[in-house]
Amino acid sequence: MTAADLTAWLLTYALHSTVLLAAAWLLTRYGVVRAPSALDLVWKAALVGGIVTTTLQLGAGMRPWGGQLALGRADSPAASPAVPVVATASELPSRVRVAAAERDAVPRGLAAYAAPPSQASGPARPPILFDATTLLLALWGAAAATLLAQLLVARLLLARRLGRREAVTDPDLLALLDSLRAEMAIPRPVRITRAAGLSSPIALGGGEICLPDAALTELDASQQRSVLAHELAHLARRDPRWLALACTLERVFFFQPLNRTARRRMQEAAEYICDDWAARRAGSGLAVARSLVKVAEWLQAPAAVPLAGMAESRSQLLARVQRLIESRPMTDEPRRRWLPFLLLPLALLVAAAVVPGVTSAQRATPPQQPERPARAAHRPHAPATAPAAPPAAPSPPAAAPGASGTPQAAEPVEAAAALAGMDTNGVLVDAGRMNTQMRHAVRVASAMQMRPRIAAAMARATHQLRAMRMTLGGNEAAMTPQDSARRAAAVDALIDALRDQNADVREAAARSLGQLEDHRATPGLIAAMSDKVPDVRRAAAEALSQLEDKRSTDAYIAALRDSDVEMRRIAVNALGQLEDPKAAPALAAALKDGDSEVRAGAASAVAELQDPRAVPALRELLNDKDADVRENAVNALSEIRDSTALEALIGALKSSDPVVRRAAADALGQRD
Amino acid sequence: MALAAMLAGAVPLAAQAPAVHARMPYMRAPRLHLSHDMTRIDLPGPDSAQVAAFLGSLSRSEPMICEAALDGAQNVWRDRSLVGALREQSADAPRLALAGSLRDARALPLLAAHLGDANPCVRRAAARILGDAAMPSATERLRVALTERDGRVREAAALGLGEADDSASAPALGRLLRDGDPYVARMAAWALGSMAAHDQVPALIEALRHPDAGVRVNAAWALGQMQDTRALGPLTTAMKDSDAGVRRFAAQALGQQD
Repeated sequence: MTAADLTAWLLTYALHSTVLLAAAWLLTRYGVVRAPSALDLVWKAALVGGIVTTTLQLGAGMRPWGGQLALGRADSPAASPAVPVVATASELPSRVRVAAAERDAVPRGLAAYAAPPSQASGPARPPILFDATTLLLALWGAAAATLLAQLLVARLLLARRLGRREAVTDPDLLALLDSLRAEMAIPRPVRITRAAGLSSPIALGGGEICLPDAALTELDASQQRSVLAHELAHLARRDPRWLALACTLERVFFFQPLNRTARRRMQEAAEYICDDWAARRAGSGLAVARSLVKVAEWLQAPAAVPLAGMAESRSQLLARVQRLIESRPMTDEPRRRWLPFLLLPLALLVAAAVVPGVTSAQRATPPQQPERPARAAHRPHAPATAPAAPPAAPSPPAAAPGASGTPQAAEPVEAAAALAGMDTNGVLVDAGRMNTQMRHAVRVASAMQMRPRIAAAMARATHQLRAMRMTLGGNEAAMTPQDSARRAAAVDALIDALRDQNADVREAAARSLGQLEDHRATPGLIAAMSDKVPDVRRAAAEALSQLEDKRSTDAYIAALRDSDVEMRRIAVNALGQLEDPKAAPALAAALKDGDSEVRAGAASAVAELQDPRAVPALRELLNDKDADVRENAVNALSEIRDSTALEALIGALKSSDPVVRRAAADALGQRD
Repeated sequence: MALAAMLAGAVPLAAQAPAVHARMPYMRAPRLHLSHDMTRIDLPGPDSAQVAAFLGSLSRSEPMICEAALDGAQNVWRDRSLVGALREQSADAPRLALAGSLRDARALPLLAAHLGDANPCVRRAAARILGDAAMPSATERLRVALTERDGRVREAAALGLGEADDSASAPALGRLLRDGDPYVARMAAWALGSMAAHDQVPALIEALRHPDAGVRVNAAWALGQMQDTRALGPLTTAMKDSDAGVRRFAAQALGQQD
């Protein structure tokens, strides 16, 4: 295989994988494929398909219906010797040009097609050693090798971190594992180990489940069962191996950014599928959800910066928990469907036959394919059959890789995770996987000084998690009607106590009402926000923010003008959570508050509302004396999709604050 | 338990309300600052001579300084005048005596004797040192002291057992809720709350109707320390108590019942 062959292969791969991955993306984007198992299949196929079709096309010498580009080397010494020729129209021999013109008339035609080398060129010239093809290849090889080395190092680091794990000997757990294996019909032996440094259970490629210590002590039997079932499902599906493969492909074919998307989607699908397996084993999704939430809690170590990962609403963990809670218990085993397995090879074959490719010019003319007469009949002037001029090679300048369908801009946190290289370790860390990544992300992010935003995200995530735990608790605790009647009476008594003559009683009642999260308390708490004692006012305002009741918007808007700084701070944060557009003008005014914490809070609140009217004030805050304010302001501007915000961001590129510059650049990069 | 108490903000300890917490008459820092579980392991703990010197210096101290020395180093070290006063009076004795858990059995009789000291601050110091001791025999002495005739000794013993989180003594403490001495009942309620003795919830509910407001306050606080639906109704009733402290801690406890 010569350098030109390899280059042709790579270019063809770039084309094919783009087409296949884009097709997969379209299929999933527009909801044609929804079920996780189908998603899993589609993405896996798209990931590996490019290699298969490329090899098929070039190896079998197929001539794709879409045409083929020849990677030409100049044949005549006069022509430039090095460059893989990108022939301009003027250089093209007239016959080819005519053919091209005719071809353009054919509606479905693609611009390029093969130009088999002339027989007249005589014995093949020895390939020129340092031509651009070789150079390109060398560059590719070097980059791929570097990235692979990086992956290797990451894996070694991980191996070292897991190095001190020990086998679990707890007989109950082993019995549980055996029974699960029997139920799930997994013949392979599976080891369970424990590692101290781990924060969530993971499945390792060699048939091993590694648990954090906490999983042994803090999970009850049903949670352990669901955790084990989930991990076993990963092993049964060989997810760790797939992930390792995907990570490798991602690095070798780094010029195909969609591979990354494919790998992520594949992982997501795998988690969903394994959740389903676990849910079936556990009888309901609730137990699994509970164990997920539990695992998430471990990542919530108080001192370290935890779980920013669960920040975005899109974050998978939340989505998974939601899905488990909401979906009806699945009782049927997944049926093995044969249809997709028949369809897939067919689809790949079609792809190989249709998607245009690149051949190396040195290649002997491929034999005429027997199945092609039909096509020839369609296109009598198909130039593939015409004796073409030597260097006809309109090759698409290496644009192919990045040509189309660049992956959606990653969230900054995800980007940070990528920087941290955490997703490169090739291990499927489940519930916490996202979070391990995110923990790293936060570490990196804090190094990059992205803290306020992540802190906000963390706060949101914690809140969601708490809400979720309450849902779970509510489902489980089976509060008797008697209890809830008592609870209601208690809330009533507390609401009355908001008007107690003693300020301490009023304050305690307000705080308790915030903890009980009963919406009947809203009016009383709103009234208490104008109590004559500051402590009571603050307690009421804080409690009210826990209820997240839209009725409280007005009270908070009023509190934005309170003389008490603390009240204003509570109010901006509460309004940020409420996301009530009614508060937009007041928040815009709060952007000019005398207190920097209020300004910073107002900036993040405005970001939630995405109100373009706040842009001028935000733009001024870019020069605020407080760093957090500047950062929140630039982040808010990046949330607001508006031309004035865009201008402000462009202006922010010249800021003297590196954090602002970076955030602005990131934000601009995420716009088209 | 100490952690739970700290999370709750503070622990009402009706017993001897010091002047320092003027706004919160029933408040008291949950534990001696230096006697955390962490230090229990690492530090050697005082020997009997140090304990004797400490108790002696406390008994000679002004009540205010004695309270401060007991109530946690934070207060002491922040207030320079207090630090100076302590230095003058007793050099490093307090710090030494309180750093780490007691392991020296020779100090036990001395401490047990001081449970009935005339100075309330000394009584409490002795009880806390015993409660924090890393010896079962110290807890045993506190349990025995619960039946002492002198109410002050019973009170101090209850404090020590609460510090020790000795749940084995919960039934005895539950009986003390009906003690004739209200100070003993208050301390018993506090101790039960601080060890979250769920089996004593009925007794604590009953204590919510105790004639002494201090007992009711501590009972309400104690019920807030354990999440028990049985307490919902009685706490709601306690929201109509004539005493503001009771209402306040009942309200706080209701918030912790979710």
